[in-house]
Amino acid sequence: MTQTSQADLTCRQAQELITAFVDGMLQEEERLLLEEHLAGCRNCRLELELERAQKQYLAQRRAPVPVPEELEARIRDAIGELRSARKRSPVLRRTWAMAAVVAGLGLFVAYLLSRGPHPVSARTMSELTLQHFRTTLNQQLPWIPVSDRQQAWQVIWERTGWDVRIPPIRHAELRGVWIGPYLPGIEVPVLHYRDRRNQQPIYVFVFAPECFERYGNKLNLEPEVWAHLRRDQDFYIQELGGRHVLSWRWRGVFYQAVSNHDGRALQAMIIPPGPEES
Amino acid sequence: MVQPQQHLSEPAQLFELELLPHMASLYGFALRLTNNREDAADLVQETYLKAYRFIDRYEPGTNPKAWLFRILKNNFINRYRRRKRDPETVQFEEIEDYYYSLRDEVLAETTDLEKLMDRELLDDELTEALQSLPLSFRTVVILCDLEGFTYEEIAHMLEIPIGTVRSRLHRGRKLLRLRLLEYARQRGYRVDDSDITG
Repeated sequence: MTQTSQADLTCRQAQELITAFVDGMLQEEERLLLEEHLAGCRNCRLELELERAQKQYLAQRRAPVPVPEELEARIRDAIGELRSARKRSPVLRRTWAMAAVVAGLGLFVAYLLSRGPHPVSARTMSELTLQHFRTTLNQQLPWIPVSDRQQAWQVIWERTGWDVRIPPIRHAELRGVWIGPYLPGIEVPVLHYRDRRNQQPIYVFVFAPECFERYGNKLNLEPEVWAHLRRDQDFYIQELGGRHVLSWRWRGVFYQAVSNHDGRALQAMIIPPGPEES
Repeated sequence: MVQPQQHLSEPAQLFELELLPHMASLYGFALRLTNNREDAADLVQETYLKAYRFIDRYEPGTNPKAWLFRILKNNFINRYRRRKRDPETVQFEEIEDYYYSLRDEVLAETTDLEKLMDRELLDDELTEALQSLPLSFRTVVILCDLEGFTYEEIAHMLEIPIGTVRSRLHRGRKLLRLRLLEYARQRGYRVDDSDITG
């Protein structure tokens, strides 16, 4: 595939390969390239030896550290408390108080909306997502500000216990997370991104597998959408009333994104997990 | 896709059998990250509380240690962010010359690499050296070299592609090596003219 005869490595490239080489993680082709380079480069051979010695040295330092004696008891106590009195640990209490306020506000907004001029009438999920884009998301919502994927992950994890991959979106920055009612009784996280180039918002709705397990009968996902989404790289674009709703699925989690972008342009911005990541 | 789940038992038992036995490893990881015993203990406790609350998300039969590490790592980053700044990210290319001159200087005095890495360094020095790494590099080095996780497991824990694990590990190890070589020089292989930092 690669023209190996021309692909002489620089020392920098070789040394990057050395790391994976020492860990036995090189592909055959890379290994051959590296070995060829090593044969003629004393400098990199030295780096290889050092890398090995360092790895070995660190492995010897793996010895378990003594755990404080009272830690296990502390953990058991805390969990006992959690279990019986449903008390929260001090660390979590504040978060929960905040979460409760936010959830309360969310429900209140949902209540107002459900009475407003836009009753939930959409039939399919894509239609419903688009409807939220046009109505709910234009309202003042208690967004929890986040500035990166890590924080967004944390917010969703803290609130729902869902361990979901937060989509990286090219040219866009994460602004906030809102966990609000998608349908009465079904709360899902919505991620708010902003395209840096044109300041347009992008919203991503996140549905963990349990949404479908529990509410499958209410969530009316078009079967053709689901059938189309087999791999991480698969996306499904639906045009509805001049807007595009983009759907995809990673590790069993279903996502729908909606914005004012053209569907294909939006799809090109969303970075699926690397082949090894999923 | 989803494996048939055994209904192991009630959460408490699952917690007891599958999660709690990893306390020592978790504590070790927390200690490496925080360099502070109390913070480490708090972090471990917090991690277990979260794991317990969300135990229904844990799929029996998957790697419980990786799941716990991931929770801990996220908690740590969340806390740590508020508190202090991460050491600045250093591009290896910027310090390449210094690295090679240091390496050659130390290796001119000893060619016994095992001795160099092993006997000449103290645990404290290793800890300090690790602390000096930017967090993203440090995490990968700890997870791979000290905790023995595979690239795949690390990629999953940190939500990054395997290629990124590899390049962070490469840079992290190099920076760490630089510190370790510095300690080695200070301890045993002194040179009269230490005018190298410029």
